[in-house]
Amino acid sequence: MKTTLLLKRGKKAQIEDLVEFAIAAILMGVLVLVITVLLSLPNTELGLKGKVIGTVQDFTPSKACDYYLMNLLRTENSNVSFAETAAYTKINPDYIEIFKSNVTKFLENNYKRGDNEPGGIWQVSLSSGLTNPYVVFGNLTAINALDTCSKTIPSLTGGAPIIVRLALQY
Amino acid sequence: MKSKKGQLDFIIVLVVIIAFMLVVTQGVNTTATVGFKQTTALKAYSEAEQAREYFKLAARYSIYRVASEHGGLGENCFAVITSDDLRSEVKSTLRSSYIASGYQTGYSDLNVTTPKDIQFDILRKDNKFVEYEGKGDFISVSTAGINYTAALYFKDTVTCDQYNEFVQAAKTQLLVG
Repeated sequence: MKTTLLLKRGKKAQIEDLVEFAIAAILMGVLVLVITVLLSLPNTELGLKGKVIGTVQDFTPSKACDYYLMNLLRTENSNVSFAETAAYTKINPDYIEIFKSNVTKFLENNYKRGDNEPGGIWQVSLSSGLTNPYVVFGNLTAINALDTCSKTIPSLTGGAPIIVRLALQY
Repeated sequence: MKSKKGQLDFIIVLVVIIAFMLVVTQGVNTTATVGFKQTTALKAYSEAEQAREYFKLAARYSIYRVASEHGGLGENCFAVITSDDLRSEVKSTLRSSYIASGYQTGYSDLNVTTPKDIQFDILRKDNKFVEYEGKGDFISVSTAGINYTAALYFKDTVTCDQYNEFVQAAKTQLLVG
């Protein structure tokens, strides 16, 4: 009688153990599934992955450098664009000072970066093709420039084009 | 009693698993450089713009050169040449001196190709100024996975004041006869 009761209790306990095991296995399966899904999500607020620290591609020429140089070359003084004056420097040395004066005035009045104060630190140079610059001016040493950009303009005679380069401090 | 022990075991295992997953997933911050393609596309766009500007200036200088070869000067500087001659000679100068050699970029990482021919028209007005317009096939700027194309087009006006400035600048040269 006692033995039968023990056997009956043992079977009941085995079934209970099986049920407990099954419930635990299902719960763990669900947990693993949820974590797997969360890990596969993109790095949003819902995802479990850490933050993505994005660094914008640091490049030169910057858009700002391009903007100033393109505007500079299109600017006119007495209906003559600075690009034309730059071309005249190749055929008439008198225009070197005119070009320098025009560009200096333009950058002193328009060039603003960071502190929003006009007249930042810059350098402008003119070279014929890939040769060394024949005109260099400005208050920045090009080797210290962190941002440089250039534009190619035609020469008056159709020979090697003129490269106008702007170097900025940052 | 046995059931309570089972529950306790399950809770302990659950807490261990959650703690493990948190340790694994916490602090997995990633760094990435973003915007390379975007900034490269901006650079390509700017360069194509400059190529357009280059040919617009080249056409202007071609007009100066042709007018100076015919001795144009003063307020009616374009009176010295007929419209047809001006058109054909400017077109010829533009092609031989500028279009044939193409646009040369100042950036070694950019590959710029420009049209080998151009449709060019010029209209003389009152002998005091001319309007000119140029159209061509695509300017192509390619670099690091970016290939940007833009149609070549320009339109501008040359006045005798501008031409006379060129004459002034070129007076020491043989450009002006």
